[in-house]
Amino acid sequence: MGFLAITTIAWREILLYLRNKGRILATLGAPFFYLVILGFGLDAILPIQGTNYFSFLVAGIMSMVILFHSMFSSLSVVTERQFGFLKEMLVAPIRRTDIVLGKAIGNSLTATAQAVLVLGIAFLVGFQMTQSFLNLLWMLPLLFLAAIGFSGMGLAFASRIKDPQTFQFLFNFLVLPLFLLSGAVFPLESAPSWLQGIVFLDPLTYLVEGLRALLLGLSQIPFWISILGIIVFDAIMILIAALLFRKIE
Amino acid sequence: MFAIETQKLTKRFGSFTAVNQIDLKVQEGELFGLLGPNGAGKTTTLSMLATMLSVSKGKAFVNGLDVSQEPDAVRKSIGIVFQDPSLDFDLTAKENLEFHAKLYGLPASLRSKRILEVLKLVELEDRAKDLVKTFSGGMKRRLEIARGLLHHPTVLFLDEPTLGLDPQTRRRLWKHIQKLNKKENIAMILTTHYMEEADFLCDRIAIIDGGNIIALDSPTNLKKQLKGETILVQSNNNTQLAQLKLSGIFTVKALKDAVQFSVKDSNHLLPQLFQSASKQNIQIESVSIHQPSLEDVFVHLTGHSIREEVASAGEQVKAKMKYQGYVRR
Repeated sequence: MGFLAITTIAWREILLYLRNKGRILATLGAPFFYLVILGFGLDAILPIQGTNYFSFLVAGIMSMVILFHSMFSSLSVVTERQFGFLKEMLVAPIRRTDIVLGKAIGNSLTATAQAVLVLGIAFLVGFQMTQSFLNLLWMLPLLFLAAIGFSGMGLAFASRIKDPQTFQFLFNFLVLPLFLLSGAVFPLESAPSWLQGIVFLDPLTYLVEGLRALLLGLSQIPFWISILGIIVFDAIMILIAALLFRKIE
Repeated sequence: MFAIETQKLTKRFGSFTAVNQIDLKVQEGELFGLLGPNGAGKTTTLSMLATMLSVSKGKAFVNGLDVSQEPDAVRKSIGIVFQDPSLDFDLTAKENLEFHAKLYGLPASLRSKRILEVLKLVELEDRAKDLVKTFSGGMKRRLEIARGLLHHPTVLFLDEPTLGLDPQTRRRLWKHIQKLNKKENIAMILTTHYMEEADFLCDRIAIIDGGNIIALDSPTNLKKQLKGETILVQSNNNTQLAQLKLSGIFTVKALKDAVQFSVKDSNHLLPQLFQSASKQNIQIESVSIHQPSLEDVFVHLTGHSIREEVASAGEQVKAKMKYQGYVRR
C-alpha cells in the first residue's frame, strides 16, 4: 500500500514534467546562458588549477539545476493547495510520509533528468571530461540523492507556506545563498578562511565537489565524504518534511 | 448499523461553537441533506464525519467506525466531493481517476474496469482522455463525483455539490446524484443552502442553523408543519401589520421587510386582511401567496430567511478553520 502510493505520487510528478515541454525548455535557458556566457566570458581571466573555468563551471551549473529544480518543483505543493488538489492526497487513506517520499522521488528524478540535459548542452558546446565515461553512471545516483535533500527542503517549506509570493523571498535569502556559497562558481581554496567554514555547511558544496571529482578528478573533499554528507542531508530534510506534513490541515 | 451516527457531536473553535451537540442517524443507502445558511455548521459537521477535522466533544461513527479512533478505516469507506474543486487540471480525466484508484489501493485487476464504469455513470466516457482543464464546471463536478465513488465507498459526502453551477447544469447533476444513489446503493450526505435542491433530492433533511439541528424529517413532513398556505405581505408599517388579529391566521412572523402569515385559506382571509389594514391606515404594497416551501419552513423555524445570511458568519467559521488548521493525527 505504501509502496503503491509512493510510486503513484512520484509518477504524477514525472508525468506533469514530461507533459510540459515548454517548461523543460524554459528552465534550461538560465543554465545554458550561465555556461556559455559566464563560462566562456571568464575563461581567459580566471585561471583554475588543473582545468579551465568553463570546464570548472559545468559541475557548478549542474548543481544549480538540481537545487533550483528540486526546490521549486516541491514548492508546487503550495499551488496544489490553492487549487485544491492537495486535499485529494491529504484525505486519501495513505501515510503523510508517503506523500513526502513520492513527491521527493518524483521531483528528484526529473531534477536529475534536467541536470543530465545541462551536461548534454555542455558537451555540445565543447566540454571535455578528463575522467572515464563510466563515471557518468556514478553521477546519476549522486545527482538523484542530492535532489532528494533539496526536494525535502522544498517540501518542508511548502508545508508551511500559504502564499506563492513567498517564493521570491525564499529564492533571494535561501536558494541563491546556497548556490553561491557552494563553490559552484568559484574554487573553494580561493575563498577567504571565514567563508570556508560556511561553505562546508552548505549541502550543495558536497554535490558540486562530488560532481567535479567524477567529471574532472578535481575536488577539495574526498568523494565518499561528499556521498556521506549528502545522505545525512537527505535524512534530515526528509525527516523534517515528513514531520511537517503530518501537521498539515 | 447506521451509515452515520453522531452523539452530541460538537466542534468549537476557541470560544466559538460551530457545531453544537448534534445527534444524527443516517440509514444505509439514504440520501440525507444538511440544509442551512452559510456558516450554519454544515461543512464543519461534514469535515468531522470525513475525519478532516478533529471532534471537540461527543462522538461520530461512520459505518460503525469511530472517526476519532479509526480515521484510516473511515477514510477507506467514504468518498468525498469537496465544495471547491480538487482535481488535477493538468491530468486527463482517466489519469485523475487512476491516481485516486491507486491511492485507495484498488486492486490492479479491477482498476480500469471500475474507472470505465464510473465514467459511464456520469456520462464522461467519451472525455476520458481529455485534460480536465478543458472541462466545463458541470463536467468537473461530475468527474469529482465519479472519483468519489471509485473505490466503492458505502458513504459519499457531497459538500455543496451544485454551488456555482447554472440552473440547467444543476438539474442535470441532481438527476445524476439520484441515479447514483440508487444504482450504487450508497448513503449520500449532502450539504446545501439551496432549498429546492434539498427538497428535490433528499429522503430526509436536517435543518441546521447556528450549529444546532432545528428540524429533522422528510421534506414532505417538514412542509406539513406549515398548515394551509403562506402569505407574504409588504406594507408601509410591518410592525403594526403583524399585530392584526383575524380568525383563520395560524401564525404570524414579522420578517425584515415583510410579514409572513400562515393561513387556512387565503381566498377568504385576504379581503378581511385588506379591510382591517386600511382601517388602521396601513398601506399594503404587495402580497404573494404560495404553498409552503422548505424556505417557509426555515423561516417559520428560525425567524429569518436562509438568504439573509448573518453577514459574516460563514466567513467567520472559514477564517477560524484556516487559523486553527484541520488538525488530525
